[in-house]
Amino acid sequence: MPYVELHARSAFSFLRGASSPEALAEAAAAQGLAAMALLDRDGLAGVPRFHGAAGDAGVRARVGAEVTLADGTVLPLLAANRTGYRNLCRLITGAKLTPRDALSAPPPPEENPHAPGPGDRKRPCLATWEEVAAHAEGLVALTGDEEGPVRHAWRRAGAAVAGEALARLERVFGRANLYVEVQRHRRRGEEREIAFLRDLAAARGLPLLATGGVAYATPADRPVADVFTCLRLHTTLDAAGRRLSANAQRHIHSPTAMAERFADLPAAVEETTRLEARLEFTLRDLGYRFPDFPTPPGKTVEELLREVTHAGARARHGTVPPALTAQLERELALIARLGFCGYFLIVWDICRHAREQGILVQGRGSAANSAACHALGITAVDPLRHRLLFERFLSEGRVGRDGRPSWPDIDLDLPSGEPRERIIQKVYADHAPRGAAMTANVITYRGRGAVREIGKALGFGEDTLDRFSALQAGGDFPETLELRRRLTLAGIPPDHPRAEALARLHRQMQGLPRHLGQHSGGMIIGHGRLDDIMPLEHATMPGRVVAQWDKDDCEDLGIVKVDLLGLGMMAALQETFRIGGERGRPLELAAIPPDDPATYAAMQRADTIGVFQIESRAQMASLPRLRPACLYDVAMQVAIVRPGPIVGHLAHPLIRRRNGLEPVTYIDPSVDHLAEPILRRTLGVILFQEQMLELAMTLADFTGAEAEELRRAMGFTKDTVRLQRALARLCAALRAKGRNEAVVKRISESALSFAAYGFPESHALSFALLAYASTWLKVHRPAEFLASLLNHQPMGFYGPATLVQDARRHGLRVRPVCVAASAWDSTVEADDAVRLGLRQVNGLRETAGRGIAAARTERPFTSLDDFLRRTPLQAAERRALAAAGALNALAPHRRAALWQVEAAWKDGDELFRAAPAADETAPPAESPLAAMSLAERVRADFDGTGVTTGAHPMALVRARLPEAWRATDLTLAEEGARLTVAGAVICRQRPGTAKGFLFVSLEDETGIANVVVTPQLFEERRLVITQEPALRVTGRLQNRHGVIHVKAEVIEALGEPAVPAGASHDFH
Amino acid sequence: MFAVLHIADFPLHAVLRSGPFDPARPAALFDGNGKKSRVTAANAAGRAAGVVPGLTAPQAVARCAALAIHAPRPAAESEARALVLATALNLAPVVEDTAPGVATADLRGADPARVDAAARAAAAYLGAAGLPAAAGVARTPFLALLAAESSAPGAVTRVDDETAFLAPLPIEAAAPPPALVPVLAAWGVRTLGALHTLPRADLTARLGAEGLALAGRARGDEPRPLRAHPPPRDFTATHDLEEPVATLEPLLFLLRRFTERLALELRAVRLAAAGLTLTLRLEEGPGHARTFRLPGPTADPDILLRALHTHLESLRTDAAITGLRLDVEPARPLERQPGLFETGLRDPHGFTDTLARVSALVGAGHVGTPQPADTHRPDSTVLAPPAPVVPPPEPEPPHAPWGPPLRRFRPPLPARLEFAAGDRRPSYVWTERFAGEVAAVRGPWCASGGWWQADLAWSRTEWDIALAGGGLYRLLRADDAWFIEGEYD
Repeated sequence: MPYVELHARSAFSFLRGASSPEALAEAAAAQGLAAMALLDRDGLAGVPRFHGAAGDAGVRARVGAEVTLADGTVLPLLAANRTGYRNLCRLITGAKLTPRDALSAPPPPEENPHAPGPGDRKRPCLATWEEVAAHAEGLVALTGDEEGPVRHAWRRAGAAVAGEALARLERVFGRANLYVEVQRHRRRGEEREIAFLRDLAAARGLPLLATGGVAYATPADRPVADVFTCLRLHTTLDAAGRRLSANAQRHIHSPTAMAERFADLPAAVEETTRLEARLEFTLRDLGYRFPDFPTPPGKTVEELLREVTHAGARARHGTVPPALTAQLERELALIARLGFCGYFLIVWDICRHAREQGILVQGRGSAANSAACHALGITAVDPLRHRLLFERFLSEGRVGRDGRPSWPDIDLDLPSGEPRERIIQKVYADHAPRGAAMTANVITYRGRGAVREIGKALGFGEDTLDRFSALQAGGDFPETLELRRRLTLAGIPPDHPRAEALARLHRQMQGLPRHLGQHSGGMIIGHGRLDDIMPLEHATMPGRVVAQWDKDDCEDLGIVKVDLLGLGMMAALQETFRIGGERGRPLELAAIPPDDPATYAAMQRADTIGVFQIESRAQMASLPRLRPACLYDVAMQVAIVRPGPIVGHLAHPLIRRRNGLEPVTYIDPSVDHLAEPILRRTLGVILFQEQMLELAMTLADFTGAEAEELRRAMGFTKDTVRLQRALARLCAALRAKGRNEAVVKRISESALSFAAYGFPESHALSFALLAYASTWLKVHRPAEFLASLLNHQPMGFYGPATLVQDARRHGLRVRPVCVAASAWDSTVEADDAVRLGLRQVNGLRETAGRGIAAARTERPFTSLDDFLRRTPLQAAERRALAAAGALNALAPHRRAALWQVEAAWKDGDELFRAAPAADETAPPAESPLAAMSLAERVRADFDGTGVTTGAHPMALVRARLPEAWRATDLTLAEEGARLTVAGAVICRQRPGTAKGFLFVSLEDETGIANVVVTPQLFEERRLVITQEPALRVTGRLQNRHGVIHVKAEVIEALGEPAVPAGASHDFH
Repeated sequence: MFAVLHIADFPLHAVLRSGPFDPARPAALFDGNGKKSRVTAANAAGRAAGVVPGLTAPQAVARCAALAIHAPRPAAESEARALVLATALNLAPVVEDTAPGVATADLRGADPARVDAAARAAAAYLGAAGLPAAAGVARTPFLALLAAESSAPGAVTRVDDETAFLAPLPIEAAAPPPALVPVLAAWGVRTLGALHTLPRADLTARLGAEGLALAGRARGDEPRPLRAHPPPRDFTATHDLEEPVATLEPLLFLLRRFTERLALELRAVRLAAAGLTLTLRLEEGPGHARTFRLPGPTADPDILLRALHTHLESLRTDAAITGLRLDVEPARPLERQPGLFETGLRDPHGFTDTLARVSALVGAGHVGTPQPADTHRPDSTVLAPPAPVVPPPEPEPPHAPWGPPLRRFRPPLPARLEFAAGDRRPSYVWTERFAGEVAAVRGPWCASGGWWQADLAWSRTEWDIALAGGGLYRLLRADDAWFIEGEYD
């Protein structure tokens, strides 16, 4: 007997379903179901993934949702057609976004007093019956399970009230669209309820519908469902009692099993296929449309785009060369054919708006391949100059998995913080009220957070879980120890009666969605209302709405997304240009001289602290080996230090080949002639994603659509099955073309290593441009650049203290904070001198700091007394300024200032402020306090400002460390020498690809010493390494091509209180 | 003249003396059990390993892997505090409970020549009792405290040249108010001598009345009347054990601590013990209590401990001990006539006592009112303590119980089944009591739970079967075996 499942929940029901949509689709196919409907609670977040997975598995995916009603019952609804789907989205969106009166709502259910109430922003729908009635068209209602209106009423108040509940559903949905749902979960006593439902349906002439009430894919997932129940009810497995499921029967059953289970009600089973046949809607029929771009009267979008593109090209190039004109025409023609003109105009408009607002903007991603994007001012890389291929950005063959043209990928980098927020608000405003939304970010169960939640449900004590978390301090970096071993370290022995369950659940729950967050910058826009396409809900940030789908889902379903990403470096660059302009040395990003030898020289000696992308430890280690000498080299440099290429053993060949240590070959002699044109620029190494795709198209005859699917699969981190499938297709196609196994192996290995980390060439070039620009500024405008970096902390890899020390080593004078000279921000006082801003003073309010600068602008401070009288400072702020030396211009020394500020009026003694000074000319009383020593000043600098403009703290303790080598002296040591280094920890890194090796950077007064720690030593000294602010390390020196490391053998805490705990950049 | 007995890191030592901890093992006290807790004190071995106040637990363990981590224990502190006061009361009649681990004795009028020796003896006594105390003797209580704080354990410091004594002391010694600490630190004022050099008027202008008071303390402060601690009236000691104990040694360790302190308190008020009542709290069931009448009143801790030891050696409790209490009946030495027919036995009365006897007969875990357990597993009950009042009736459920009552076989009858070919339903059933052809089957119904722990896990599948010869039974499959669980009426 045919049967399809029309009531299933996934883990996107958040604590009410225990399997991923993919697992459900796979299990449905395994059980021989031809179709299945996913009805997640109050949302459609899992629907896109289910749609994709079900399509792959050959199962028809139907769409619906369980909607929580204001009376606390839950109504399952199925979308019969596009109207129904639109109504469902609008119903959920409206119910979620409409404020609910907390007083009129029912009290939280007894079994869950912690359930989110009507006042919570992230609450269930709590839809009213009026809202349901207003959106009933096109929807089919089921009476639901034990939480459904009918069974809930029967259980609480008996048959008569249940009959009334059914009558109400009948009035709202009509007899044609209402099904009395029956479920059998093999629980004793359920027959009585089924008999009632059977009789009720017969009495009302309504069809019975058998469903599984599925909450997980297979019986093995039941423990996860029980744990979720505990998390939802804030209890433990031991205390949950009958609130846990009675058995493991809410999994997907085969048609045969369901026919057997409902042998007495065969019509209820047969009805499933009849109803499913009525459900026309699938996600293919979303009806998404990109918004129109308003054009002047009489002008089409195509004409407008052509006009602004050519105007832009003229503005960029002056005289437009014929080659560029031809390229632009070619691109514009294709853009018009694919119907993307409006999209380009909207992105152009955002960039134009940003520039008008004085906000730096630069497109990244494959848009850099487009001359049109360059002409429109969307990207900064000139594709003709760098010989970038437009087809990599846009081609007629680029279609999504459903056959729709795939939207071009344009991401915009903006200065982080307030400027980016202004642009986001513009997009919201342009498409108000519901035409724009941020995409969701699916937060999943992972790492120690998952252990904590499972541990709580299993009844492990807080202290044990705290210990586990403390041992994993520094984040969820890749682990070398398996979970059971780590649990043992935390005091949960392997033979603990619940250790097995904890480890198993941890494995099962990995990657299941935990909650929906907001993506950092991904915005989707649509024509008209986005809530016709997907439900929207409140973001945690007030005033924002967020879609229930994440960016991958949106891309899969052909919904256009614009990533408005905040980059700290963009903000710093913008500020550098501004400062330069104010100092009469104007500059802009496009005007930075290309191919500057001094800039490349700095890169080649890894003198890159503070610059974009190539400042990390790993980047600095490979810079002297790759020795970039042009922008393309920098793009390669950016791309090689990625987990992908290292896994694929591809980074080192590139460096070896550049240095002539390895011959340049092109995959295999049999395909030399085909691969060479693609890989010539990277010396035969597959480095960029585009090369991967071109190879697939050239060597395996992949179509544009297949290549696009491969690209998506490689970027889709959540679904390894999808990648495996795409790889299998690639290998099959390669073999079908007669490629030998060496070629198949190389290509498939490369594709695998690219997954999740693959770096498109154009993207690398966009980043390379920023890396080049920032290095150029560090070399040629060091003062402006340093001031800007300091004003945009935290950003980048290093803290202010390291940046300042690095600048000092480059001959820059960094002057201390001073109320007589400092502005709120750090400023440039000369080409080689930076004045730290008042913002560096911990505890000083911005209004107070700006008040000081404003008062000084009025007239200079004549004395400390004058300063105190004219600045609205709190006592703590006065002390902070004095201790940091910011009042030294007005007092003999810091302690004298401290002595004097204490004598000023106290907070609240405002009358004194207004009173004239007794004698303005009288010198202040001499301080009885002694001046600070050098060590005291350094300490006060770090405590008060986080940086010192004086000696590095390590210089103060150097005399006590006769055996420790200074960082700069390491170049003099012999390879293999056993020596000791010491310093403040400024970075701890454990890259996923480094097989458990840890890299620690120690800063001293001369520079940075890099230390490599073996996994075994790390595990032995884990707490010392992760907890101590300064270390002393003894080990063997390794010097490879000028890249120096100390391979640690002994690691100890330095134990010098003079070395303060700086901000270390850990485990990123 | 005042004397101060002072125990540095008092909360740590109070905890350490409450159990038989190895003094050579590094130990540290944290300010709580939470994840943010930090070291507040470490013993000498801990300090030697680099454990200093302010470290988090991971940092401390990083420096010293063998570190024993302790949390504050108010009960242990109370016990230790009582001991310090009792020691001080043996030094002078007027004693102040100045702070935890600090007792001040007013020695004005005492023979100056004997003061030092008496203070040294008191410190030594405390040291032997697990509290490394130092003593200070000086003109003012504050100065005496500073003197004690600057002394090594067991030593006595007498302050004659106050200025020379005070000058090198750290500023913290004068207990500056928290608000002034960062100000003084920023000024670089680290010693009382440095504070002393600051002009008093300027200091007052800057630091106000609090600064003035601080300056006074930096000069040694003035004599003041002590807040006299009343002599003890009740002679009781209690202790809750962190882990239940089942052996004699830890109990004797604690009882030695008790008797030392109680004997000291008795001596301070010129009394002796006429009787002892020892109460033990057990992990399960009622506690154990025993009253001893001593042959004669005594304040000798060894005699008191011996009486307890003799009893405990022959005692067997049903469960591990979780806490103990010792009450001393005080008496004037040799002034009380023992009763002619008094016995050491107590007569148990009332409901609680009866219950205790029943419990002793059937086992502590088998007494109470059976109630259905909160689980899907049928026929599971838990025992709840007898309710003091009759609970109100529950409201009528919307649906009355359904189906005939089940008469359970306890234990369930093992059964053997025969299945017809090609059918998963049983066709014939045998048990030791009956057998017959199965005429009808209804089911199955499945239930399972406790999957998270091997010894709790259960799974059962049940059917209702009607036999052709009559009879309606519940068939159960559990643990890979078949049973008839019961018969329907």
